[in-house]
Amino acid sequence: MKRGLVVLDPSEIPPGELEGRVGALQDVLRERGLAAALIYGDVFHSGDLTYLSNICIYWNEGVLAVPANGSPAMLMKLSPRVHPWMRMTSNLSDLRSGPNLAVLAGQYLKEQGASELGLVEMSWWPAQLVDELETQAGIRSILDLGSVVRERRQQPSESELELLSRGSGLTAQAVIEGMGQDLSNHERAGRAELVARLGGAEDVSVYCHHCGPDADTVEVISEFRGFWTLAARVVGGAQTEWAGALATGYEAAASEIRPGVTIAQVASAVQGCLASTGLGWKVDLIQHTDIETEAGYRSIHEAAASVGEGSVAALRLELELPDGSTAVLADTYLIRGEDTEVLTSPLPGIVSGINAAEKSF
Amino acid sequence: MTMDRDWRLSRVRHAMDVAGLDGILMFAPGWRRENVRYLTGALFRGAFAFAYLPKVGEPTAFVGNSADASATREIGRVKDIKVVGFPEVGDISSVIREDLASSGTLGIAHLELMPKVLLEPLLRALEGTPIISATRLMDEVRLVKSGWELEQIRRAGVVCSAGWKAFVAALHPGVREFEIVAAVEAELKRMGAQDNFMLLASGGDEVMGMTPPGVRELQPGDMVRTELTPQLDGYYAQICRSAVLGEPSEGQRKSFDLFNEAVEAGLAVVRAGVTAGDIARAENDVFRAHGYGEYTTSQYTRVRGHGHGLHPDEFPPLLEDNETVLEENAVIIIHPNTYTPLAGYHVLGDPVVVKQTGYEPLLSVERILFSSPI
Repeated sequence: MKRGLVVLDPSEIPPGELEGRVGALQDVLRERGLAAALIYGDVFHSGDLTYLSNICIYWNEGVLAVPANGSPAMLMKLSPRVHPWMRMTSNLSDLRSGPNLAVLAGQYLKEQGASELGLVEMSWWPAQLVDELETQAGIRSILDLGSVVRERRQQPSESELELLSRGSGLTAQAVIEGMGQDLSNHERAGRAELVARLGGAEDVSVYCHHCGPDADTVEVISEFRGFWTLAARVVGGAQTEWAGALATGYEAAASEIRPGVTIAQVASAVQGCLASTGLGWKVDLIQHTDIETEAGYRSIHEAAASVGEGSVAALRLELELPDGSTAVLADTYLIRGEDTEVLTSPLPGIVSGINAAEKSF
Repeated sequence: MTMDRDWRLSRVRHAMDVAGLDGILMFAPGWRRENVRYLTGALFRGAFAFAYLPKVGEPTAFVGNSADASATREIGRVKDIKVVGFPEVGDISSVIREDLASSGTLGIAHLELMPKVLLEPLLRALEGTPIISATRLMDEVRLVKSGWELEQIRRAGVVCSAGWKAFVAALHPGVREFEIVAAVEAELKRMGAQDNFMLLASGGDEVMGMTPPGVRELQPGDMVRTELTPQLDGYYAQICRSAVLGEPSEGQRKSFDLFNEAVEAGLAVVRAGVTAGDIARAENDVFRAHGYGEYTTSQYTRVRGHGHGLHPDEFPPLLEDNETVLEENAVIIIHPNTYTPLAGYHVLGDPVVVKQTGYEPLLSVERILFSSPI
C-alpha cells in the first residue's frame, strides 16, 4: 500500500512540467471538441492521475477532472481533512470531497458548463460509476479517450527519465539487500523493504519465495515519485540445471530488446533456449506504466504491441520448476536506439554465482 | 481448516437464502480482495480475481495467473480453479449460466467496483439473469469471525504489537517521518507480514489529521501519532497510539486522559447485542462531558472505530447513527481519534473480539501516552 514518502520537489519535477502534461491532454480535448476529461484512480491503479497532478490516492478512489481550459480539480472520497496535505504534495488547489464521485463530477461539470465529456480509459472505470455519470444533469455525451495519458507516459521526458533511473537504482539496491546469504525469506523482504523506503519509495511490493530446495527469488516492485520499476534475482541454485537454463533464456530475451521489439519476438528467443528443458515459463515485457498493476490493466492489443523508441520497460522471465515453485529474473530497461540501457544495472549477474554461458540444461 | 471452510460456506449460504440469491460472485480488484479471500483463503498477486459460490455445490475460483492458481490450490479451500485471461470473462459466465440456468438471482460482491470491460460482457452473457449487489451481504457475513479466523487475527496482533515497538524505537529528534515508516515496515515484513496500512502525523497542536509520511524532521516535544495495520496471511490487526519526544506537555497529558477515558467508555459497553452506535455514543459522551463534543463531528474525525479482519477497514463504522448489532466474535477497533485544541490530532485505540459478556483484547501494547527519550 502507498504509505511511503510523497513529495513534490521542484528540483525533481521542474516548474511547468505538471502543467505541460495537463496541457497535452487539454490539446486532445480541444481537438476533439470536448469540454473536460475525467481520469479515475484508486489506491491500486492511479498512475495516470499521479502523472498529471502528483496526487497520491493513498486510500479509496478519486477522479481528476481536467477542463479543456483552466486548472484541474481533484474529486475524492477521502475527507477534506487531507486537503492541506494534498495541496502540499501536488500543484492542485481545487480539491473536493464527498461520498459519491458521480455527484461530485456532476457538480464540477455543471460549474464548468461542460456537457461533452471524455473519460480516460473508460473501459477500466467502474461500470456503475459511468452509469451514474450518464444520469448527471447537463451531461450530453461521454466519449472514451482510451489510453491517451498512458501512451504519453510511455515516452518519458528527460526529467521523467531521471526519476525512472533513480527509481530503478533504488529497486536494484533493494533486491541486492534482500540477496544476503543465510537469510530467511521474511528477512530478505524486511531488508529490501527498509532500503526502498529509506530511499524514498512511495510504494513497494517485495516478493521473496523459495525456488526449488536450495534457492530463493527476490523480486522488488517499487514506486518512486510516481514512477514504477521492477527487478528480480535468484539467490543460490548455482549447482542446479534449471539455473543455467534460466540464465540462458533471460539473456536471450534481453538480447532482443530494442525499439520496435514485440513480446512475441522476445518469447520466440526464450523458446529457442528453454524448449528442450520441458519446464514451463512465462516472459513479459511490461511498460513502466503497467508495472503498477503488474500488467493487469493491459489489453491484449497493448500486450502484443511493439515497444517504442525511448520507452522504459521491464523484462520479466518466470521459470516453473519441477517442484511447482517458480524462479524469476527481471530488470528495467531504457530502450533507446542501439544504446538500450539496463536501468537496474547495479544488480549482480542474473543468477547469483552463475553466468549464462557456464551451464546449459 | 475443513470445519472453518464449511462454517464460512454455511454462513454465506444462509445470507444468500435470506436475500433470495441463488448464486454469489465475489469480485476482487487489487485493493478489495477480502471477499474472494474469504472463500479461497489465498493471497493473490494479480490485478483481478473472482470466486463463485452456488447455492448448492462446490465453489469455483477464477484467477489471472498461474501463481494465483498455485496459491489457491495450496490453501485447498477451493478445488475448482480456473486461470482466466482477463478481461476475458467467458469462463465465469459459463459456470454461472450452467448453475443458474435461466431462473436464479445472482449477487455480486463489489459489483460497484467492477470495470466496464469485465462487467458488460458478463451482463451480456447472463442476459435475463437478475443481478443485484451483494457487497453489503458479504460485509455482514464477514463481520463475525470463526475460531480459526480469530486465531489469525491474534497472530496479526502479535505482529502489530511488534510494529508499534519498532515505531517507538525509531523516534528521535531529526528523524524524518518517512524513515519511521521504513523502520516499521522492515520490522513487519521481517516478521512475515505481507502488507500494512499505515498513516502518521508529527508535530504539535496544529496537527489536524494523519496522512502518508513526509520529509518533516521530528522535534523535541512533538507528538507522533500513528495508525498501523499489518496484514498476516490475509488478516489485519490495527493499533492506534501516540508518542511524545521527551516529556509530554500538560496539554498532551490532558489529551491522553481524555482519549483514554473515551476508549475505556467504549470498551465498557462492548458485549454481544450492543450496536455500533452504542459504542460510538459511549465514546462521544466522554468528549461531550468534558466540553469537546464538537470534535466528534465529521469536521474533525471520520469514525469512532470500525470492524477489521480480511480488510483493514471493515463494516460497521462505529458511528452514533449506526444500529448494526454486534454479535459474538465480531472484531472491532475502538478508536476515538480526532482533533482537539488540547494537543492537536490524537489517536488511541485497541482492537477487541466481542464476547457474550464483554470483550477479548487483541493486543499486548499498554495503553499509555508513550514518551521517547531525547
